Amino acid sequence: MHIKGEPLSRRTLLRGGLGTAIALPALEIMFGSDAAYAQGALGCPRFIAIYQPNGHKADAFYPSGSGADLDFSNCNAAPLQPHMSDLTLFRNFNGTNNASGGNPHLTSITSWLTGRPVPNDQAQTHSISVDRWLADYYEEHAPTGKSQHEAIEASSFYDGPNPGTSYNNEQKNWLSTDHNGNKIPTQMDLGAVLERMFDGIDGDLSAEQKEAVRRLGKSRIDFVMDDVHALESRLGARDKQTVGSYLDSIRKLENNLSQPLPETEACEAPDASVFQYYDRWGERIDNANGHDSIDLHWRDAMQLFAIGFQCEAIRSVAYMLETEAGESPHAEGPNGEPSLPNHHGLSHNPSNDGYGHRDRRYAQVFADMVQLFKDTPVGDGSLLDHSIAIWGTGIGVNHSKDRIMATVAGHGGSNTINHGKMRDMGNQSQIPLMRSLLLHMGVMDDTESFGDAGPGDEIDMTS
Amino acid sequence: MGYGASFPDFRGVEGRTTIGPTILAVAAGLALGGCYSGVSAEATVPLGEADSATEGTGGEDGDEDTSGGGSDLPMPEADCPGPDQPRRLNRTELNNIALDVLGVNSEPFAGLTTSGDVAGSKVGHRLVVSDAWVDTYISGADEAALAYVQREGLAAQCEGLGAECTRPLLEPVAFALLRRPVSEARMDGLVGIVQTALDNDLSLEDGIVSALTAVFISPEFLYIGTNVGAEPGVYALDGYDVATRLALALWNSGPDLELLAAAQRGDLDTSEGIRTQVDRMLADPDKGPRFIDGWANTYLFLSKLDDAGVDVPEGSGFTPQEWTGLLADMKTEAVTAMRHAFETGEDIDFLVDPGVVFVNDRLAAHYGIEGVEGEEFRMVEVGPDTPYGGLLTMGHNLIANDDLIHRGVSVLNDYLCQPIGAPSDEETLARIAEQLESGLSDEELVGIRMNDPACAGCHVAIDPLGTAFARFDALGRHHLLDEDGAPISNEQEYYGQPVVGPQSVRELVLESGYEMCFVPALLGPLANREMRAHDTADACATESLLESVDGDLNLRNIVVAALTSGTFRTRVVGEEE
Repeated sequence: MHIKGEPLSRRTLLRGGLGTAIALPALEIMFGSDAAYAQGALGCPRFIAIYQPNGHKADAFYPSGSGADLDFSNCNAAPLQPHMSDLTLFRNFNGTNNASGGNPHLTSITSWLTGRPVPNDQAQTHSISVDRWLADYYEEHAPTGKSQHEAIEASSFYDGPNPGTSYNNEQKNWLSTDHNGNKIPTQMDLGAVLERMFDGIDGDLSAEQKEAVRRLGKSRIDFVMDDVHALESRLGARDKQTVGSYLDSIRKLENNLSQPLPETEACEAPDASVFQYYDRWGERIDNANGHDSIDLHWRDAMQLFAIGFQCEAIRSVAYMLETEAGESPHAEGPNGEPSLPNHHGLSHNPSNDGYGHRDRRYAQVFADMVQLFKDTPVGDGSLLDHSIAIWGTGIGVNHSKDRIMATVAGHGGSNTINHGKMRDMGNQSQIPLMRSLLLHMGVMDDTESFGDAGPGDEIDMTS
Repeated sequence: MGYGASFPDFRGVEGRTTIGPTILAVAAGLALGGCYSGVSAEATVPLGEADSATEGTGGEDGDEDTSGGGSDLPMPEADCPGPDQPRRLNRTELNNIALDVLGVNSEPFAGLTTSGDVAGSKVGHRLVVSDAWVDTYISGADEAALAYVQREGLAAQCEGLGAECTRPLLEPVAFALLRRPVSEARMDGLVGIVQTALDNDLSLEDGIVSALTAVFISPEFLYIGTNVGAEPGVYALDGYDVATRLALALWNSGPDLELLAAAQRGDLDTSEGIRTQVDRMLADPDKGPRFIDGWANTYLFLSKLDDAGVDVPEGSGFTPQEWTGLLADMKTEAVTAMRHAFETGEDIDFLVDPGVVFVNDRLAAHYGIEGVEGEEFRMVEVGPDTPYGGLLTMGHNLIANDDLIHRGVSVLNDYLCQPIGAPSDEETLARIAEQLESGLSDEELVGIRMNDPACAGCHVAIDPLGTAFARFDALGRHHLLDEDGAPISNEQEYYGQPVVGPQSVRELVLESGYEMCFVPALLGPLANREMRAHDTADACATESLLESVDGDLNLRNIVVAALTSGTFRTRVVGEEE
């Protein structure tokens, strides 16, 4: 019981009384129908995009054969084979709309989730990415009071800034963009993500005390909103764009504080200590060596997001294995070497087996993630039924725009994707892929555009 | 209740300088006297109207005019304005403000993500935010406010006396954090937060902490450069914003009371007034050194060494502790050299070709320089045969640019103002892959690139400059012979001019006008503006600054010239992208 005169928990005041909106009834509303796929556009399919920088070793990745008749022996995609009924393997995408030039790292990562490459090497703003688009959509159509979106990275090699050269445009270091056109910073600390997903008001507060805390938080945010309104009234359009992301976040806090507090908490937060990452390389603090850090981080992140997705504590995630052109050391080499430093360097040397070895390791992690989602119950089905997960890249072999890989898993609440195949895209642009996924998830009307993809620009996933 | 008893902001942490009664009286006067009606576009004057503006600042009832009438400063339009942006405070600045204003030394904002706040950036588009960032930020603000309120016992001072009692406790803090006088209406809002706590049977401490956190969350605190007009154009900053820019530039923190008082008096409308404050700020024993620390990190991107420090280079023979220690020494070397140049009145050329090195025993051993003992860094004169000396051959640079091509590109980009982009066409990329897989030596690859028209266009410049550093390995050690015992060539022609070793490059850099590269790299972060040496407006601003110092390239003079320049004192509102 909170005693008057004692300070409230900092977390409580931080949210100003914002309690968790994770409630079982909400889950039942979303997924409680007879058919797991039935909710379609009315549901909230979860989305996770996993970006692999520096491309993949195409000549060693794919199974032989075509369509559903595939032989996975001796290929790096082999771990995916048991899950083919729930996933589609794409090969030979073209990375951009073919019209853009510029640094290949820059155009690849900026176009992957936005469906549109940045216009030039100096551009510092961009159009909204699909992960953030979904979060905005859910905030409008199915608000939960929680943050809908997280941008995570497993490892980092921040490239730049160097104002003297276009080579170091920092957009290579971010995956997501918000509707203001501003980059969304990533983070590594999964413990902080967990805390945000499962935070709530002190469990031992009475209903009256909870309401008191909410009122105090509302009073505080009202003060801030006065300044927000004053600021907006004197900013020009360009300055509003720069400041807009912050003001949007403040507005969300205001909206949350205007809602009544939820009565129940149905989802139990997992043990936070499992997810504590502290250093910028995403290494677990108990992992002194850390060469496996990217893999480990990904695996732990998926454990966390499976719970978050299940509980609707989070709905959209952009997960970057490392920055584009990243030079992190990574998993042990094909013959048990302790590390393969400078992955970017390896990607310039695509015949090196170490380059492809990472693909196989990541294929295994992705396969395990698919299994985890399959094993996670949601409604009458599984999390995989209600999710779309994509693992892919925007850059081709040897930094080209060609021969780009994508792997899409899950049914997105609609079951309209005909999985089980490898689809050869024949150098078709990857730009419409994200729009196509939104259509399959039932959250976008087929008259709408996304990025540079408009009506009619779709990737066939139904045949 | 007097401010002296309740507002120890500028006393900082225990043991630091205590501000005397005079300054505290100034604080009270500043905070109350203006009853400023909130920041507004009227606080600034668009160019073209400045000539008719009245003199001085500190007008009452929100009618302040800080246009700098009577100013001896250069007209901003003379400095070739380029677009800039509002920006938020970065992580370093936030922690310093918590320390300097609230005396909270726990670095409450340390949890803010690296990717949102890199290398102490001071440019708007690099300082991005997300919902997650805001969540962490508010948590840090809450921690800072709670620590301050509890340490000062603010709740006890007003226990049982009602919310209004907290007004004089909150007002000077709000003033210092918001960096300009706070209107009565805004103070009413803060007191209202405290009242809400009391009305709902929450503690007075909860109310005060919430009120202070509200100040932190306000965009008026977090963002700078927002007090200008909405229309695209060039706006002169008012005195308070100049004070803020000075504090962020030199202290990586907010302004202290003396700086805010100078703003109110109109002192910052004159170059003499700015110089007086700059001298005072740089002489501050606690905060003064932050300028070189921050600037060296930004200019030289020393955080690259954090990346290099993760793994001990294979085959290097270093233990993890030795390797980490060596990288730390390399950072210290760079900062020490910069500080020496700044404090002893050296020209900026000293940074390139000093004829000395700054080393301790470990680093000297790494460089092969004999006769240096002890961990303390010292300046050691080196002869003409010593390859080390200056930024180009410092360990941090040789490690961050650890091969021939990166070293050549770095010289071109950073020291000769010739930006080189990475190749992007697929044919060239395919050739690069072939070359990398060929197993040929650097020297052989240079020959191939020079004879390949697709490569030679850029590599005719890159490769000779990179080759000059061929005798330095990826760890920054110098060798005359390769692994097979053959001499390593560091000689090549750069546009018909022989380049032999690093000294040739140093001379080339200085002959080419290093100041044209250096000034935008200095002025840009100070003025929160992305500046590129080859950009027309930025080059114009550089030339204007160099004209103002009349060819004197003394590092400190250039810094002061930058801080009194029109570029520093203006904000350019650009068109929507």
